[in-house]
Amino acid sequence: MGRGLSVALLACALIGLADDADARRKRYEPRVRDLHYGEVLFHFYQYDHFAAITRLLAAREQERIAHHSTEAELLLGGMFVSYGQQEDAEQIFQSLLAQDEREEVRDRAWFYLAKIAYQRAQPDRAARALGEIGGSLPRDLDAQRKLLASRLYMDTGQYDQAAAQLERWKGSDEYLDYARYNLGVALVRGGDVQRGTRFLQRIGAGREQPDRVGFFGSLGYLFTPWRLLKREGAIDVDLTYEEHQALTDKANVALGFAFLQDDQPDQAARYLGRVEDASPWSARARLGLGWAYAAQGEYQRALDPWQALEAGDPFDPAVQEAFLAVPYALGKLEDYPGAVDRYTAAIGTFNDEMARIDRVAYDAASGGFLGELLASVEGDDLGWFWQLERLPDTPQTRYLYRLLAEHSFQEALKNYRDLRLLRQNLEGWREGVSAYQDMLASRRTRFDDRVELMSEALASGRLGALDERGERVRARLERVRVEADAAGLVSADEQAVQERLGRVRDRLDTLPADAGRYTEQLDELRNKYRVLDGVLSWQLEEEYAARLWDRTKSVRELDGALAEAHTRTEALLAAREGADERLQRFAERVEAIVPRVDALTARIDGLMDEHGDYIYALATRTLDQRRARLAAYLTEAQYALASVYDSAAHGDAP
Amino acid sequence: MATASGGILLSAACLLGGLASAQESEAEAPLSPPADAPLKAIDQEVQDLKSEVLALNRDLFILEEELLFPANTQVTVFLSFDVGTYFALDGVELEVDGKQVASHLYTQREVDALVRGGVQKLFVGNLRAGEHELVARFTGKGPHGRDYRRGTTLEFEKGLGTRYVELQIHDSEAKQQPEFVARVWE
Repeated sequence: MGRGLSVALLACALIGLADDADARRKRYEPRVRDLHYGEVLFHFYQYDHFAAITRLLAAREQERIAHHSTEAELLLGGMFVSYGQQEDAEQIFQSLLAQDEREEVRDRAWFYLAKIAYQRAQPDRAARALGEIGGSLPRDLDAQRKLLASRLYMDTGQYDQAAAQLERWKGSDEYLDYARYNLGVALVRGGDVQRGTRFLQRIGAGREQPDRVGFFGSLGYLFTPWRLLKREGAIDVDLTYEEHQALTDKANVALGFAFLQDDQPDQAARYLGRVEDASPWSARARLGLGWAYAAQGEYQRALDPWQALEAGDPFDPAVQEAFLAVPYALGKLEDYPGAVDRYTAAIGTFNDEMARIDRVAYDAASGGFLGELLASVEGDDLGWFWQLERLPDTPQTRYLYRLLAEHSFQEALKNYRDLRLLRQNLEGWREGVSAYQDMLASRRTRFDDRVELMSEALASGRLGALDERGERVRARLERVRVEADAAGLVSADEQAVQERLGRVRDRLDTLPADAGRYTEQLDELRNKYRVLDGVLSWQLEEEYAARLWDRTKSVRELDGALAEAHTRTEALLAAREGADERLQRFAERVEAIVPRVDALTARIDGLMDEHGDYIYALATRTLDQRRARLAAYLTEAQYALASVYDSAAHGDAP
Repeated sequence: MATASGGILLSAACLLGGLASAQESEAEAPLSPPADAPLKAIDQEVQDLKSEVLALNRDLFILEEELLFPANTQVTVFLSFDVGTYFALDGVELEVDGKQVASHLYTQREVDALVRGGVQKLFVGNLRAGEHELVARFTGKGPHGRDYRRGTTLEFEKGLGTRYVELQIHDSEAKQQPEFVARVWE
């Protein structure tokens, strides 16, 4: 099960906030008050922290989450903790403490700061931060606070205080077994073996196994990443039973060895015998069970679990111990030939295993299977893990599985995977930025074309000509008004009539006054002309005021239209300059991104190389340690073999 | 055990020591990686890098939105749940002015995220100022596990600023069934 509680604590940010959201939902309180904050939650609840953090940072920058500012900061800090950004997280919580007086906010900030300090192996700071917490944490966070406090006390051997933290523990079922386990361990170590045992026994009693455990379940049993992935929602496999069963087995092993140390081998055997065969703890349990029988002088019985162990993986330290324990028991049973055989076999096995380790170490150093593993750390979070299933069953992959179960190896791989994901993210943006550059270039071309059309229109001087005509019209109207020149306001039709009348008058003027027998007809024509001219003049005079008002109104409208044309032209000019600037600003922003992407990619590449080397070194170091231990066992077996020969020769027990 | 040979005593002691530390590794082991200088340095560098990549993502995210969806034409449609007891969402289709602009089929995890209070950005696009019509069609399982298909329509005015529309699925306690509402955020 690995670092069960550590993963549980790592997930505190998620769980604490998730529970808050659940509570909010159950109380039917209003939903989010800023849609963009809700969008962050949408990604957060899908455990896509990268997307959630990006959106939250953007929404904060754009001031779109004003109604949730404190909540958003707590969420961001929690996500940073989960995403391994402890420094950023610490900065946020310290800032909240500096700015917010509310106890519920401060308590949460202190809790997360305690957790960060603990993650950084700074127990004193963690303890101080926990000490600052008042009493306003939500129930689940408070339960996690107590778990953390108890671990801090246990780290410094203050078992009574650790137990006191966990007494009457209240929290979700998820952590109940961990709390019971730690309480049991704290009590046993603090000297209250009886009560401690009781708590461990409650876990050791186990739960009913569900119908379906499945392949993934059994994998999860072995590898801690499954738990991490499950908590972060990356997989849907329910490992509750496996988690609990592993804890149950661990409790039984702890109880067994506590009783062994307390010289109660019969009790020890009782608990060690309960550990399931498929459990990752079964090898240690079998080894201990053998010792429990041996301690009671039942060497024949001790051989059963030890011999069963011998068939296990020689990489397992417990199996390696069994190779020594079996001949030891045979020696006790005075089966010296048998003991000699098994010691000899053990020496052979240790030598073979050392040779195998040498081959794997060579392969690791030359980039063999580890290179394949690192190359398979692709795309989604699960990529590298799925890839493991497809690896061929070779000694290398067997060691690979074992190495992966190491905490430090997992941490290193996690970092490597994060780097790979960051790189993919940057590659995606590189393409995006290139598309933006094209888009801006095409917008620029379109814009320039339109500006040209607009410039031509402005250059034609149409508006200026209109202004001049307008000015002339205004001047004419003014003259008409000053001179009260009704004739100046004739309409086009009237003007035509006026001109015709003028032509008639001119003709009449050329005719003599006395035209003989036509004189009477001419007088009649002259009278007609005078009447018509008079009617026209009368009409103009009569309608002068109305016409003046009408024309003045028209000129005013003309002024308005010209002003509008000027406004529009100015707006267009301003827009042209604004759009130009805007396009320029966008282009500059896009241009500025390119070197950032390049620089970050280069740094990531360098770091990935460095990290790959570190992972190789880690694997090699682990293999060296395994080899050194095997070498010690080998010496031990050789010494014991000599001792058996010696004893057999002298007829006394070794 | 006490009577075992020197070699066995050694291995037994190792075993007990191993188990004691095994207990610690389960319940009490520090959460930080081992105190290993190269890893710590790399870890710090990874943190710094992540911080910078996140800042870059933020800047690009904002740039992308401003470039592709300027405020004077931007319309964004969000989808939210309120409780969600009476409706198990399978999919949604969105039309604007008679043209389909978005459709989405939901995973269980997405539905869970919505039910827990998350809000999905379903669509972001550009629309001219003026009157527009939005139609959303929801499919899923309604009360008693029956197939359910419902729609909602909204006519809205697109002004000069960004327009946010929220499609909401909420439970009507009185009717014991889901209700689908679309509204414009001011």
